[in-house]
Amino acid sequence: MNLRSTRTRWALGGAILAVALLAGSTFKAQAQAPERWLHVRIDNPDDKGEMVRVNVPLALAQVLISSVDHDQLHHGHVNIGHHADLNGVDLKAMLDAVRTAPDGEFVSVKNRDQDVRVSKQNGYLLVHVNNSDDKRDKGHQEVQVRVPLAVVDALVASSKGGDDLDVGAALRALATHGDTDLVNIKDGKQTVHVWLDSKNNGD
Amino acid sequence: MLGKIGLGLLVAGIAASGYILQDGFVHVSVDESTKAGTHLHLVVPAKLAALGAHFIPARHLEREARKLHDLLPTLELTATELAKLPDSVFVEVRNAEEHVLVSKSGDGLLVEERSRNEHVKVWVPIRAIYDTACVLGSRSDLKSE
Repeated sequence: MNLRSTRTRWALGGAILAVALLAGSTFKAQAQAPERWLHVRIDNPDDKGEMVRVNVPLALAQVLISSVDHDQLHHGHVNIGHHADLNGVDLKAMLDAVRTAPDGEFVSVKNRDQDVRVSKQNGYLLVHVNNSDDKRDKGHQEVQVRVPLAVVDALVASSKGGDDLDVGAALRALATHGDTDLVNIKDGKQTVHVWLDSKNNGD
Repeated sequence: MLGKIGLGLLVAGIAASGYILQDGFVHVSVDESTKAGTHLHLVVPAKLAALGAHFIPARHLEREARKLHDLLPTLELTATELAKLPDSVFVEVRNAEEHVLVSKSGDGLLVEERSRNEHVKVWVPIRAIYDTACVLGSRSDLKSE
């Protein structure tokens, strides 16, 4: 090949430009992959307007959870046996049963002070706890937990026993999920909101 | 001859400066709003932290060596993931007395605390965190328990 000929120079220049454009578009496509963020916001208007915001990119949470090998956390697996008094309940079997059961209400406990409901609906495991009927009551507390079943599935699918949960896999499953509210807690003093979206600012 | 030596020193100086400055600078600022308050503004080449990590006597790290080694891969991976992210606030705590922010700003991690009496800002390049972790992780004298 004669590098001094004009035609060869044009061909080389064109090839370099094409490679640069191709590489640029590849990097751009990678940069545009939506990052999923887990947000926690705690507002406590009573306590001098205290507010806590935590925004965690799920990719970072996955890396952290998967790489830590300390105490009850072993490379994404959490052993809850030492912390939760399961009274012989096989948590894995229980979650597995919930996962495979049809939509419906599994638990409903209602008395004067409390209303607890656990149900499965449209691919979500829903937990609703309402303490005290009177919403004006300072002790009134409302808890709503909404967990995608794919996450429950991942949590137990590759766990190593009844009291082991694969949090790493659950985070991976959560990362593929769309924007969703996960936890809402309201009481007379504070509100707690945990949700998932692709914004990095948590507003 | 002297010219050649001078040129050699100049090149060595530029290379050394380039090496020292490649990770950017750690910025520390402390401003106290009281009358005799401190106003401290430090800008230190971040590479010095990684260089310093080579020379910390092992006995000073002995007690924490195992914990450090457990944490190093996590720290390295965290720094790599952080570098990919856009500017973001990770933690914000606000109350009547103070406002604390932990965020990614540019290529660095910014920790800022603002209260009635003081304003503290520390900005560390993420690359420096990664480099320092790598240096500590590669020190063979820290690997034994």
